[in-house]
Amino acid sequence: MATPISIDDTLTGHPVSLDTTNSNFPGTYYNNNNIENAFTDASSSTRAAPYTNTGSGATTTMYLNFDCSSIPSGSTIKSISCQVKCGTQGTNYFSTRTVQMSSGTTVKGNATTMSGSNSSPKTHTLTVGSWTADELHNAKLKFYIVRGSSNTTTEATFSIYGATLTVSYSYNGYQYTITSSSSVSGITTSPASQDIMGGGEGIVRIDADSLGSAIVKDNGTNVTSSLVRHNAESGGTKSTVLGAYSLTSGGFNGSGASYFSGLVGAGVDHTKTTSNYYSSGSGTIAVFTYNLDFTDIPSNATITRVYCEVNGHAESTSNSNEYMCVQLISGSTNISSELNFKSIGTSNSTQTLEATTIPTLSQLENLQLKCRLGYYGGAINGATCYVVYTVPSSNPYYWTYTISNISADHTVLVTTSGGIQKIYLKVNGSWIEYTTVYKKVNGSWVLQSDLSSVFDSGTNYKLN
Amino acid sequence: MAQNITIWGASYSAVPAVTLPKTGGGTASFTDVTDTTATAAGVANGTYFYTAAGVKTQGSLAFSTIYTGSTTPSSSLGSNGDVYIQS
Repeated sequence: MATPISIDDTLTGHPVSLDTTNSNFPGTYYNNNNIENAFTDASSSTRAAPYTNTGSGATTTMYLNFDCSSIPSGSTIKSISCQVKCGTQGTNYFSTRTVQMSSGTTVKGNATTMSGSNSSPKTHTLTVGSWTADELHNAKLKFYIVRGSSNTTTEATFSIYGATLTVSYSYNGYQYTITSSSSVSGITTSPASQDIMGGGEGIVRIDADSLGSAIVKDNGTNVTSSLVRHNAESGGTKSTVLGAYSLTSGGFNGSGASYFSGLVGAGVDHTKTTSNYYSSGSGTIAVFTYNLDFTDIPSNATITRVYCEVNGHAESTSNSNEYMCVQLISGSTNISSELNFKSIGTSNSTQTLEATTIPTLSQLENLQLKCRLGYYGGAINGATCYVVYTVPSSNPYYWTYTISNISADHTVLVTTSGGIQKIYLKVNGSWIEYTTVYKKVNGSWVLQSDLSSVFDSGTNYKLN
Repeated sequence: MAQNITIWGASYSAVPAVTLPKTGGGTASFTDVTDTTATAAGVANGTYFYTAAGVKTQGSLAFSTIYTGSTTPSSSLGSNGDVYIQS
């Protein structure tokens, strides 16, 4: 068997929501009466005051949900305690005014009469009876109010200040611990196998060339399981808004100069819709660039996507000299295709410039949004540029695998982490262990996630 | 390897090398290399050796370099295919 784990824990919680499906309010019930105040603990001093209906015998039933989903199925419930702080407007309004726990709509334990008043509530400890874990997954607090035969012409309220549920439970389940190792002797890389060990007597052995499946020996019975190896990565998306612009040398002329000052401060957010610039005047051409700042991206990041959202419009679409184009560039390299807003129309819209070439980190340092406007070009209201990247984890792998049919009534999903590959170098007669290895590819050092493929067959290596 | 040679009618056996006076002074040594086993593929690229026939030949054996260090590698370090092991 796999190693059993034992949980001996206590859960404390309060009502989390109103069960609107099973509750029944024949009259106005909680308008403006802060029902959310009921979702607190039994020491609360804030009141929820649901109304009851008018008329003799009118009944109000209200359920508040508890969340006990963290208690594993199959747990042994050792004890339950429930306190409710509540009261009613006046005892002469009601023939019945009880609070009780229930699983779904099935009541548990005994009903307790709310004896306090609205202004002087009392904390009641309920008699809850015995529960199973599955019953607790649908635990509720039931309020049951019936109007009496007097004072029935006006609505009345009852008060809930809060409730606290405490559950002590124990659980014996299964836990698999997986470790792995892959040794590399010197600079030769041909590990014969990777061994993944399940905890206890459950043993999993994975051959290096067949990581797609595993055999788990469980109580003498082989159980086939699926296993998937993942690259453990942490990722990030960094965005930047546009800052200062600069004119491209020789890229601006004509009578549109007087409008150019409006560009300063533009482009800070692609959700802006106020036009800040348009180029006008016969023969006017303006080319300028916005600098983008991505200096905070880690040096070991792998860039997976670069795109820029630009809001703007073309001023006119009736003449071939009228255009308003945007493009991502890095130095003389085009990172994206050029987008002409003239093909979009004269109304403001947000368009996405997608990088057709994923820039290197050094290219990102010089990333710019280039804008090219012709006669009656258009407006650029703003833009936001995004870089999506991943950063390798120091722990290069984790595995997930699902084991089924361990026994007739168990399906166990196991998610594990760990399994660091290692590389060894013999230095001064001793083997030194390393786990972080880079390989230079296309001029850049790339952190290797699979150490078994670091060294190329047919290539000679020497220590520096 | 050594050779049996005759100089001015005198025979000498198992001679590995001879040293002769150079014009203008000094001496020069000539060594028999007929037993060499070196090949271009076995000699580091950029260096030279002599074949058994006495032909000066450049080695072609290339290496990628394994660097070690305690910090991330500098972008200016190494060439494509090199490996950097960080402690």
